[in-house]
Amino acid sequence: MQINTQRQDWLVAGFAALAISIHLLESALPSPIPGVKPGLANLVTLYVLIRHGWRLAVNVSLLRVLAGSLLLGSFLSPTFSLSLAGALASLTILGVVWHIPGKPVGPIGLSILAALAHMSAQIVTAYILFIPHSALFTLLPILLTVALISGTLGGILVNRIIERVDTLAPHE
Amino acid sequence: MTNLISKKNLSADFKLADKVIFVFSLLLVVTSYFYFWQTTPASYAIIKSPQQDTLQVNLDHKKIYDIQGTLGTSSIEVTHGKIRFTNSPCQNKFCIQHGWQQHHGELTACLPNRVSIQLASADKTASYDAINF
Amino acid sequence: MNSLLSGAQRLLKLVTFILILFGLNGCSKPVTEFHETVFTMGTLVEVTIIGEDPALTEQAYTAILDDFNYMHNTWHPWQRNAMGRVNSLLKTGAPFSIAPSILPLIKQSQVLSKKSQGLFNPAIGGLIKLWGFHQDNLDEVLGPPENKEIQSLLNNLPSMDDIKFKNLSMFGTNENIHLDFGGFAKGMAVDATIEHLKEFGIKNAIINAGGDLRAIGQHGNRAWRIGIRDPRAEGVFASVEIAGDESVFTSGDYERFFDADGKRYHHIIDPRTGYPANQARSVTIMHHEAATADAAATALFIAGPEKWHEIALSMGIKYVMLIANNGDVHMNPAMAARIQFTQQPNTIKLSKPL
Repeated sequence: MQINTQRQDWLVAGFAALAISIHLLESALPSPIPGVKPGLANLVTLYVLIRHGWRLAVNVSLLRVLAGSLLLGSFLSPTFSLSLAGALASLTILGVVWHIPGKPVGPIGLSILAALAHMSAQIVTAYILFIPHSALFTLLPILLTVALISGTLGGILVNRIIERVDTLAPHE
Repeated sequence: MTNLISKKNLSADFKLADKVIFVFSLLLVVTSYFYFWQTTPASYAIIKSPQQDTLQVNLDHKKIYDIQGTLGTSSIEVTHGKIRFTNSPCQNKFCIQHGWQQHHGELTACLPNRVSIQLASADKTASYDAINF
Repeated sequence: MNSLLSGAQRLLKLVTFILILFGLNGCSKPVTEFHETVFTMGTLVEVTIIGEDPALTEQAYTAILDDFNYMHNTWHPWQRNAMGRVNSLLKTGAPFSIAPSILPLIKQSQVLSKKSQGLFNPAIGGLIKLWGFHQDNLDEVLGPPENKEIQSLLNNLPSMDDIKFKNLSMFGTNENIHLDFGGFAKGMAVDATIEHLKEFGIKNAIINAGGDLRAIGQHGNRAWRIGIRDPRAEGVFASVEIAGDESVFTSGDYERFFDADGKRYHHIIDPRTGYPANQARSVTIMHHEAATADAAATALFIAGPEKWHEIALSMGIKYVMLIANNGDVHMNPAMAARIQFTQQPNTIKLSKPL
């Protein structure tokens, strides 16, 4: 059976593979607070958004969440739900902000917003589905701080990568 | 490749909108500390698990509780004023790493096993100016 | 390069400035707080004074301690004092010169007794004594009095109308009259001491006499937060915010009581039946003056779920919460709007507005 593929599919597959690899590596990292990760895989999403548009970014991101959880054995587990909620929230806010005419927000702003949305969505999902204690929100300040820092640094990194890539292979 | 992580021209990475977003996010994060953090000592804990009735335990005694969760049994230790997970059937043992909890409003949980502990204080008189009775 | 650096510097300054502004506003400003607890008027009295010069606060506090001692000694229902003398003289029916220390109590309670349709009746001290509540140690009470003794008192029940004034004298018209201001003196005392604090220029204070309190002003930047204890449990189950000048008084079946033959008898006697009122567990009143709040809490407790609304209307009370014997919470809409439950009651019944 032949599946007809297009260039777009290769891009998605390639980036998704990259994102999944990063995701897997990240899950091996020890973390002081459960569920808190630097979110390096999100940088791939951000890069794809800026260079190839929102739709591709959505595909890459959702593929990463799905395939990543299958590979880690966490499909349909609590981690999966949290991961999915975070991805959906950050994709939504990226979609909204990216389509503002004139694109005033750069990679750093996008990265910060996505990271905060991602983290907030995870906390809210955890509250609704798993821990309906209002005291869960006591963790919120720390997690938001981590999100802010990783969002800012990640955004700077992506910005520089894109600047470098742009000189080598300009936007299509 | 190394000059991707240099600090030169850091300001050039930020567009104006990025700076605004950064500052507002910073304010948001700082606010969240003021709103969500208080430290009155807790006097009891509420242990919840889908497999059994909610348990309310006083923190002023010493005891180990074995709580049935979706994956298995989590062991919870209570000692004077403090509570923690000592054993859990989860893979990563984040709940145990979280250690002792002792302040009003603190929360710890074993997500995979669906067992959660929330701390509270009996009548929060710390935040009332006077009690009428 | 220069413009980039100064751009970053300006951003940094802006961020710092905003954070400092935030820090100043985000916390409530610290205020000098004075808290003292003292045993007087037969109960534990807590005095809170905020934001005043320490010397002035000390002075004012000492003054109201004296006030409390004086009132306690003068108004005590069964010790040998001015109140006792007035009671003996009233029984004789003969005129005697008006006792200035007791007069305000009598005058105010006459008005309130009428407005409460006689449910608030300080003249039934004889009944209260009959039940054994005129002693400090309630363990010595063996049991309820004989029904026939209660009935004979009921047949000739004294009321506040049985005190008459003529020129500078007063006299009683019922030999059974015995004034017991237990359900009222605390309120009067709180009013008197709050007024005294105001005379000292103090603007923000709480006087909490054994759980019944009046608060003036507010706590620094925010209103006073008052917790209300559950009549059946240890903890706080609701709270209200007060600012300005308001009293919160609660009457309950748990305050003074004795147990006999497995039954509990408490000290709030229903003048209509001669027995402890049994229609409610507690009543909480919010009102400007403490004395009225005190009398109203007693009267509405006796009135129970059927009659509290009517009595509250005639006494001019605007905020009532009554907890019935089955745990139902009865409130008027204005009270429901102000009260915040930390433990939600099973049933709340909202009445017509007051």
